Amino acid sequence: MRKCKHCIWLLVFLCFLSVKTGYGITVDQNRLISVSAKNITLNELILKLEKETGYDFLYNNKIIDGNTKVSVDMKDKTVEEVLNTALKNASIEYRIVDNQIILHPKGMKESAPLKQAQTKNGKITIKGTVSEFDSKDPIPYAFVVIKELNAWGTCDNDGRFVLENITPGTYAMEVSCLGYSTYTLNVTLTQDINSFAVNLKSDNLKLPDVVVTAIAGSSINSSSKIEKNAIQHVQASSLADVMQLLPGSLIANPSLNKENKVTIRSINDANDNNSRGVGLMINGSKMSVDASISYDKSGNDFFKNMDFRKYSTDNIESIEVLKGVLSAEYGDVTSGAILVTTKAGRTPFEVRVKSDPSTKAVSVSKGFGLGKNAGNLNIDADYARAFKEWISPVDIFNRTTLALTYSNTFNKDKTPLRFNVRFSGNITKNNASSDPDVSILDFKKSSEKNASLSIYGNWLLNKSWISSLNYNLSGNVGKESIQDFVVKSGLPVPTTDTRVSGISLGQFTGTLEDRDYRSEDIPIYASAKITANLNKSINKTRFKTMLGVEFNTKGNNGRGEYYMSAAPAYFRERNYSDIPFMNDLSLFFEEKVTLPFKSTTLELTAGARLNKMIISGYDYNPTIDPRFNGKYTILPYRRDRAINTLSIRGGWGILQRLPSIGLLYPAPNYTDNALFLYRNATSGESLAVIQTTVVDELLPYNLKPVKTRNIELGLDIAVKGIDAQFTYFNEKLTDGMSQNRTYSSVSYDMYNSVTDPNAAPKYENGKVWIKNTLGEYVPLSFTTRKEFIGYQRPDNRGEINKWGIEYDINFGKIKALNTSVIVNGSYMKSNEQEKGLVRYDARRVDPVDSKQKMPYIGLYESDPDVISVGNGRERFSTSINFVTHIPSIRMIVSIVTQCIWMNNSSNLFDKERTYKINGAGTRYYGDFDNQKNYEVMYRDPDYYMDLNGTVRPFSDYYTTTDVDLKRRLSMLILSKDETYYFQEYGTKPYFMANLRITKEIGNNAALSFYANNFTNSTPVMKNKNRPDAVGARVNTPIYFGAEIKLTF
Amino acid sequence: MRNIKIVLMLIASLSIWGCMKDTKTSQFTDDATSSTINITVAMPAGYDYPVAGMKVKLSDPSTGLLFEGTTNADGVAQIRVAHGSYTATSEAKYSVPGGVIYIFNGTSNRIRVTPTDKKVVAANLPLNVSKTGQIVIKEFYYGGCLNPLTGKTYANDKYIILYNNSDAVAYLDSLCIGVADPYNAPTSGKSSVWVKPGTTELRDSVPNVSIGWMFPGTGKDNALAPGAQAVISTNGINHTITAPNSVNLSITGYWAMYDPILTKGQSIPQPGVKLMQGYWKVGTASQYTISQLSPAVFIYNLGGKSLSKFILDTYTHKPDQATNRNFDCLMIDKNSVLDGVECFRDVTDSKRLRPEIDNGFTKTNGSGTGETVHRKIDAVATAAAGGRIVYMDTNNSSNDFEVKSKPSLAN
Repeated sequence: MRKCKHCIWLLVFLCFLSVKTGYGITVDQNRLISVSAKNITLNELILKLEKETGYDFLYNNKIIDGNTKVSVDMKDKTVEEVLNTALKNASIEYRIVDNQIILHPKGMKESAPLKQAQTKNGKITIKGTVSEFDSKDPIPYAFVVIKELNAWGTCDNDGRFVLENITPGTYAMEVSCLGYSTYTLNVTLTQDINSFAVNLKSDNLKLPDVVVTAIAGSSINSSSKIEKNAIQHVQASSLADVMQLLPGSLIANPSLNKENKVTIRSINDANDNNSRGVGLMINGSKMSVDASISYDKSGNDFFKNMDFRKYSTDNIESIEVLKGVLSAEYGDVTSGAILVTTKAGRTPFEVRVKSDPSTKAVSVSKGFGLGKNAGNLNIDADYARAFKEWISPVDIFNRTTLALTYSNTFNKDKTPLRFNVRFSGNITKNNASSDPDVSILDFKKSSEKNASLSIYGNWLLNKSWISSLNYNLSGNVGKESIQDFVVKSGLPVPTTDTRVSGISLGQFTGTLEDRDYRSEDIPIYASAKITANLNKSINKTRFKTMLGVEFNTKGNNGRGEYYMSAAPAYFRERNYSDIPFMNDLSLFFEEKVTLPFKSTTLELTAGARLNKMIISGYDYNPTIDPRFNGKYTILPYRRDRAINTLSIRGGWGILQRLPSIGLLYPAPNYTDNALFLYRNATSGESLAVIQTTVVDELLPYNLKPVKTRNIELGLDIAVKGIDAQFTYFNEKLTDGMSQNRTYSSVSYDMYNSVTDPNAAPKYENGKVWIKNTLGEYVPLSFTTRKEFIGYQRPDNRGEINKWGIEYDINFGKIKALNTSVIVNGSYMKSNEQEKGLVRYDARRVDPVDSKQKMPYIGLYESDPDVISVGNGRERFSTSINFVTHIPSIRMIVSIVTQCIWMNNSSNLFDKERTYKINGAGTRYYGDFDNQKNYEVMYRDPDYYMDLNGTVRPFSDYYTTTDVDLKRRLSMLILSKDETYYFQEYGTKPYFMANLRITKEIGNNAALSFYANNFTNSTPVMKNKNRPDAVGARVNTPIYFGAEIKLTF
Repeated sequence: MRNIKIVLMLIASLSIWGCMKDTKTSQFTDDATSSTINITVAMPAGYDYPVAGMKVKLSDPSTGLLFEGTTNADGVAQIRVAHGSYTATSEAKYSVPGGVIYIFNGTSNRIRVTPTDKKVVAANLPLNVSKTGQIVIKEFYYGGCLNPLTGKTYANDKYIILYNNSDAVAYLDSLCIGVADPYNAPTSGKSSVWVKPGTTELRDSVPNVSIGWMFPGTGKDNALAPGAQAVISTNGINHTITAPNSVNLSITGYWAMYDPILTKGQSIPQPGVKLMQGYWKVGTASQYTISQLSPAVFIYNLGGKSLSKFILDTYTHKPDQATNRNFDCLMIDKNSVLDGVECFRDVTDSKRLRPEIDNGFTKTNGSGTGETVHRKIDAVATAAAGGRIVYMDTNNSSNDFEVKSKPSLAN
């Protein structure tokens, strides 16, 4: 019941009633109702009618007495007829305006709205209460915000809130509280409001509209918002599993037994540049792995990737994934940002137990109210255990997470300050031992411990020069340890651990040793970010200015890699604490202008981010990322029009991702070569003369940040209740991280072998001496050979050219079946290449003289191993979601059919460099792409380099008369004799269906079940271009799991 | 009543007897499930030793059946076999004055006899001729053993033993050891790629892969007395320190296939162990590769050529590797090969050595078992030699070799 105190006519013009209201009954003027009441008060009648019809009743209680007695007894009449009868004797008339019925005394006309009377300096104050829909109890700490202005307020213990200094205008107002369904309302504010009453409904499956898919977020650039119901319905074991809800992502079985990498808008991230560019921010604090230097060397990686397994989803309230051209406040991301908001506020006890064939997990969470004005404390704990194979307990993964969040709002009356402190820690362990039937003693353990503390919030200042201030201070300390224990029986080989260049005497390794490998990383991160916002309105135009500063520092204090007892040959320790900390300072600015123009609205944002890297040993110039976004709402939402809404949006911007400290400070490179060896196991004599070359230097160039230029164009349209978003994106990534090698040559004096047991060799005065048959020491003869030594260096050659179209169409609800149909997916095409020259020495034996290695190395374009220069991917996929929601039995069933129409991969063809040889022995070029090639194809290096460092063009191979040179250079030519090599690999379309069910049992329990690929469709798909070759099985194997959630 | 029962029983038994008459007993006669194969054995051109009375063996590796027959005066053996797919083998040995012993052996192509083929199938078995050598491969230990201290296979202790099987002094100088390509015998009945085009017959030369090893010396530096042996290993150290049931290869006088540049990854041998000379290498490996599962080792000489000419003349690209230079081989002519042993992993593997070099195969029970293949003693020849051990040498390792459960050099 809306009561207007203090005598004002309130003209709240409802543009549309948002789908998320807590009311759920659509207003229908012609709905037939029955009322039988004798002598009830006007208030009671209004209450009844509001419940039955959904209209909101308004009247001025100074003029009209709510206790007036009325009587009405009617069956199956419209509301108008009921009111006519009931109010006849009370001399009250009514007027219906959209969803409201306004009562006024008979004869009194509505007065003009008093525009200026109750406003302060042209600014509006809104006061109101937030209560529970059923019990009408006030909801303390509910959060009320006017989204466009970011003007917010929190309710006190009695559920009362105040919003001040609001510029008159049309806004989206949102009222939310943990555990309740968020209520959004579009309001046009012209005057103060003193009693704005909002009722929130409990968030459970009884609500008529529950969303279990990703929906469009609220930023201008494309974004997807995933709410708590969707996260719980997908039954994720880690944060990576939630990403499959995004349009264009494929469904994957959850697996805690392997690294969970996350990519955004990517098909096959071969060089990890996309997964590296995904930014994860938990409550505004950035999570990073840039200070970790050890990485899994068993694969193709050369840096550490963020493993999303350590993030559980139980304490997450909502996730927003930003894509395209991000706002200038987000730095150090290129692919997109995942913004996670954790629970803060009062919640009942929640216990969740989850099980699937390889994982068991349990989590507990509770939000305590600490008392009047003392804030809230949320505690979340989670434990998960996963086995790689049910039958054999040899590969086990454990995760334990604990989080404590304290949140409160201070100084609510004047300048409210939202204050949150969050402490979180997690421990993950991965134990893998060898099959005990093969080797009982070998095992591998790795564990990661992590603790982070962040202080964040928002301060509403409402001054003329600043509206609000966001702050975020966070620190993170981790410890990553790996132990790899192997009992090794091997050969005695020479070793040394000298750290200076030159000739030294080494020794021989043992033959039976325990190799206990350890690796210790202690990454430390600290960051501070302060953002100031200013909102102004001039005429009808709104200006939102944002200015901020961010400082990050990261470093590693770990011991690095070491062996507890015996080390392998030529191993040297490197302490990570020798590496300096890496700092970067950013300044960002963004201006957002909202221009209403007749009935359309134009929103434009322009921003820039200035970033400077501060690292000892390197001198980086500051870089600037400009970012522009715009959105033009041509037809604002109107329910009664054929085209309900139409808007177009677009953006252009540059984003950057900084290199990690492991890449900037590569380990010193030691190249050891044994010049002379002598080992007598019976007498114990041994001599190992080893020449070591040490390269310990910073990169001779500045390793650039990875840069991407993103363009987006989008169309949002709603036609007759069908809501669709289409986004075209074009992203060009340059300066991606790639590996290259540097070569120099070293001269070695290789001594002849000595087999005489009485030779007693010794190393003196820089030479090796042996005893001759007379017992005198004579110098041992040697041959001088020159050889290449090479070491890896990272550089910026990676390039990804990608474009695609994402679509998300919500066909609305088929009322008869209670089923919503949502179709989303994407088409993506991307080419990945590492452009530029790569130096490569395959360490082949010289074909002319077997005693030495090849004296030439090749400089190849893009790839030194294969004749293609990169790979191309193309994918068109659709996800058809059928969501059946039956509120009366509190159950949601969703069937997701994933259709992969096209999933092609191809090898990129270099037209200028790839050739074939005809019958006469001469080269010929051509367009061999996309066809069967029955002849051998070749690709030459562009240049070759000799032991003196002289670089010459490879055309020497064709012009030289030197037979030896020709024979040697011929070993550098790359070739391939596969007929189908440049043909696209693609299959016919294939499908997969997944099932997810959530059922609430009473108010205290919810049971969920999912089955991925429940029809077990794993067809063998053949390559379209090679119908006779063996096909490959596609689709994930069948997988299922269940979960029970108890709330009390 | 009783009468009716008896009459009924009689009628029943008559009808059952009548039904049985229809069962096709004719399908199960000896005649219906077998066929006859007529093998014609032929001596190679230029040799006219008698072909009569030669024993011909027909074996089917997939069923394990073995049938034998003897040739008649025309050299034809008629053998009744069960249906299957057979290979015919035969051998004979003739000695001529001067101490040369000629060995004739041959293997035929696969002869298939199924119910749908003709009842009598004819096949040819041409024989090849080779000579027994002075120096033979006596033992080949390649599978490695199980190291109880680690629970894993230890395979650094591979070795080959060469033996002087004749009564005259032999010289190792310029003798070469090699391993044939592919490292592992082709499986599942596929043939090696080194066959004559269009056939499944192996070429007349053997591909030597990876490294070429040669005994150093100018001609008479490395003598091997009658009945003496030479041990050649990959790592010439005492392996029993690391794996107790391995062998000690660090004894003075042994040889090691080690070169400080070509085989950097192998262990430097004990001083006293002599070094072989590595005269050629291809690829990027830092150790000499001998398969643990099914290697084929052979010894050869350079045929009188100089090293550089030999390499130039024999250097060949592998047929199915037009683009990978790591598999280039030196093709050793069959007449330069003195002896070879073909080791299989499964009885259905295909051969890499021609019938003149090794007309059969030998096999252990797997890698890491500590087993070794060792030549059998020829009792007759040993007695004739007055106590000097003479090993069997018919150029057929199926006959000549046996599996021993531990290496002969082990304690």
